[in-house]
Amino acid sequence: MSGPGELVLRARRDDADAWAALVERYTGMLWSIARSYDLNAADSGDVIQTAWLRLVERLHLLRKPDSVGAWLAATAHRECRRTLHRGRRERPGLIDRGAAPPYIDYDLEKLLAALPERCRTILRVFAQAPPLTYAEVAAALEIPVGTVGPTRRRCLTRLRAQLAGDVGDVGEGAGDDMGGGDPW
Amino acid sequence: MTDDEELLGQIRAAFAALDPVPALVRDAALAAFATRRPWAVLAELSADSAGGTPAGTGVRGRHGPRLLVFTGPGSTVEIEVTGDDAEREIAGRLAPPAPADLVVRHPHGEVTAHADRAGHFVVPRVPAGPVSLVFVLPDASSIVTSWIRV
Repeated sequence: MSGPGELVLRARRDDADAWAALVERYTGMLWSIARSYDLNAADSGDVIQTAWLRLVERLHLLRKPDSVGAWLAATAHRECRRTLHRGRRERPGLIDRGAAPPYIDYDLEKLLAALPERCRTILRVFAQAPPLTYAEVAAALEIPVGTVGPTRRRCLTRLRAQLAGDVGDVGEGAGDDMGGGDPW
Repeated sequence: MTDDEELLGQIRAAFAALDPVPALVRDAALAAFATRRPWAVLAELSADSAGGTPAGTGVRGRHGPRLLVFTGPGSTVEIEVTGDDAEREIAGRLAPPAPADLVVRHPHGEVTAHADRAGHFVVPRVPAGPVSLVFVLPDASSIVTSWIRV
């Protein structure tokens, strides 16, 4: 599989397959970021669309094509903050869908749904396929690159313990260690 | 496959069931590629009264019309956005002043207009959502503004 830098170079030469590969690689990451701001599906869709349109407009200007994933993540964060600043949407957007999950049929889903937002975002970003690089994870989570490895280990360890029923209440337990504080 | 990778695979599957990425989001990302105009000069957002730009904000307060400034090499575009929930009106000025054909691009099509000799333009009935302005100058060169959401 081609690396992101090469995909950018190919897309500059009008290679639509390379663009599709970039979309495939980073749409999940961007969705995770938008959802971490508690944006509804419509706003999330608009934010992500804007991030892609911005990438198209400056595809030929990107100085570090290898860093395209981190650039997309930073752009999405900025656009999410702008959306929150402007307030909730006033119109139906790209999509409009209720936030409620369809149904939950096994323990892991139940567990993930009950986790604090920050923790859920971290796991979701780490679970992207193909896996994001540490630099991309750092940009998606807005944490220093040096803390990515320890964060990953801590989150997976905690999740395993919860799956095994070793830790008490999911919401509170996870909040201490993986929540919105500054344990990084 | 390590245990971690296996667990992450299960997490991925669980999120795909809990909160899947809507197909429309993917489709919009694929369609974005068609907006590419590498030959045009890019004017980037440099100020936005709605906030959130790196260069600082405060062109005007949060109430009243939204003012935005785009700056490119050798040109500036200032716009004012007004309108109701579904449709916006975009009025503005291209500097240095020049008559130009103007196309306001949005995800579902485009709206055309003209800038007069003073570089002034008014574009009614722009659908709310992402937009980008394209100016085609008399010498056939073009300027595009960065995509913004109005």
